[in-house]
Amino acid sequence: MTGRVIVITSGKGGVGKTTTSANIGTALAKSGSSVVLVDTDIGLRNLDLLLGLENRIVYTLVDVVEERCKLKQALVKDKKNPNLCLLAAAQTRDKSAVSSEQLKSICEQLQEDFDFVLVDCPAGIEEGFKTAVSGASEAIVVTTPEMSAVRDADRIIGLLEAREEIKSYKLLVNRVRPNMIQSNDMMSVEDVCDILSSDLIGVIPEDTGIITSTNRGEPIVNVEDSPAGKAYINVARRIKGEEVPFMDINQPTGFAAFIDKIKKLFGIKSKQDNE
Amino acid sequence: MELNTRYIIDLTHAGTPADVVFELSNIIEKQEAANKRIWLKLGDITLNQSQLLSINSLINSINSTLSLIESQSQQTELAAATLGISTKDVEEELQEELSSLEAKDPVDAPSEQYIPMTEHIEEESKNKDNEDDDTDAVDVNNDTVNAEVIDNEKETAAVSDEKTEQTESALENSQDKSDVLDSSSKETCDGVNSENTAETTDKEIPAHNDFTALPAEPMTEEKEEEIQEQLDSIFDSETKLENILSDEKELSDMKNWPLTKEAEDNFEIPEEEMTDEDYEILQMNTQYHKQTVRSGQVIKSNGNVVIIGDCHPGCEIHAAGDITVWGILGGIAHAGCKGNTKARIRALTLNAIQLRIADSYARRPDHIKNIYVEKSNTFTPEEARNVNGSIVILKINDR
Repeated sequence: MTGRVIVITSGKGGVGKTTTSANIGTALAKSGSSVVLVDTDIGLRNLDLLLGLENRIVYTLVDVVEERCKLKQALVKDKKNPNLCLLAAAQTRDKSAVSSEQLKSICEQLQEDFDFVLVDCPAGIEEGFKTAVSGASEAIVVTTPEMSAVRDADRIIGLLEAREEIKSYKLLVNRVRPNMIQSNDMMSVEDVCDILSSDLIGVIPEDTGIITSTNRGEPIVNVEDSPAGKAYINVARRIKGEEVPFMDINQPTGFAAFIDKIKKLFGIKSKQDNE
Repeated sequence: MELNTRYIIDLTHAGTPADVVFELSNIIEKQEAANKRIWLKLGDITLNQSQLLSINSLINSINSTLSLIESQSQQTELAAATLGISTKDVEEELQEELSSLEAKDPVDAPSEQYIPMTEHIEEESKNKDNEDDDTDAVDVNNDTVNAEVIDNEKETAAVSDEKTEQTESALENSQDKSDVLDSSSKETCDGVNSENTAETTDKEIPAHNDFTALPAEPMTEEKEEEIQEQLDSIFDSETKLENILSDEKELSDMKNWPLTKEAEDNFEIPEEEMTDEDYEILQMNTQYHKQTVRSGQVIKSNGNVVIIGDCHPGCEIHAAGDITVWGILGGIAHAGCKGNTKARIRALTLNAIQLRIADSYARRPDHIKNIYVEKSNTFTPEEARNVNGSIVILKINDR
């Protein structure tokens, strides 16, 4: 068995790389695949927190690299889903503790046992990024509909394209607010895709439930009826090759939906249809 | 000291407890009975403990002490005994006192002091063996004997001076340290006790302050017997006290009070003896860190580590010996990291993600979601130790 190694990266910090990793990983594991999440954000680890596994970590990626333990000893199994494992980063070291070659060999070892190896990349384009990307053959670039995040994503895509190992990359637009797009205060998802001229793998709406789920150490895909959770599950299905239509996040709700219906009755086009 | 004068109140004619209180309040209004030792003569009416307590506090309000009750009711006598009030016949006691006063200097020597006994019974029983050595302390009143025993030894200054110099006797046995209380620590103990039994303390404190010992007098056989009898009666009443007092907690606090220190020492003994590993820890060097240990920071030591400050989640502390955190421990602590299983981890608030002692490890329960403890001024100090390979956390309060 040779699993797929996917790196989740963004360039800019705070756009939701770690949240995306945790949720896609959990969603893939729920669909039956075996998944290992590798946190390469050494010194600023958070993935364990999002999964609620921070109290179980004994050995870390650095311990594996420095041969203080075997790789399998360092894998922490998820509380709920036995298909999901975590290889945590060390909190007490920095990015220089693991080299590109070392991570590559670890990814190769993990590939043999797991369907998916998801590598959570640190922010930035320096050493940490280069290390994280080294083992991967696919990439998911996370961005938000903001100019700064889009420009950083552009930079990252340029770096990824320069690497031969990365066969394909997909764009994931996070924290989308339909209301703001409608009022022209936020770039639309289509705009982002146009600017970056790359394929979309998912659109995640802004969801306050993310904050609570992060604080509880419970990925939002495990929370029923959350828009972001559903979107992440769709992303996971697309990763596995399913054709899933994009959620119509532009669909207005409440009073705006009522107005739109009346407009349609009279044959008036709504704002986003014009665009 | 005025308190040395006795004042006998005859209430044998009183038919009900209300009468007793009424008569008493009449007498108190006249201020005749102020600053005196009150001897109460009761008829066959039955007074329970709380009624006696209220009578006692009534008497205390005029700076007097209720030192003797004569009653024909057994229940009343029993209740009085549990409160540490002697229950003798007034006539007999009077005669005895007079005869003993004649034996001594009749002018200067104050008559006996009253010291309630209930609180000291346990200590007394502990020191019972020493009693024979303290013959010089034995005096007219048996209560004085008890007081002497408690303080092991009190050397008296001139009686007319009305002050006593209290010196601790040389420790016969160094292990008995906890039994020897100097006067100051004794008073603090009393203060603690007063929270539990406010009424008893009211009479106790003046008794301590006014304590005067009398010149030594050889102990006669009769007196010895008498002391023994009285002691026995009080021990009996002590056992009955358990039934009388409804509040169990109050009782246990009272019981534990004189033993606090010893109980603390005893606590560790039943578990395990001091081993070589324990001594190893004691001999290790200790590092002091006066800082907040933040996420990602590591403290390593070949000895013991003491951190004056909080240890945030994400930090790691590794020590070959003990880890002591004077603050909130939120990160990973590994005591005895070189394999010493007797190493311990203690913190003012123990909220560690993981605790490791030697080869064992324990993780924080999953249901605790909040990794950051709300900072407050109240702490629950806890200690973690390795007991046969599993990590046990003990509240330091419980000891």
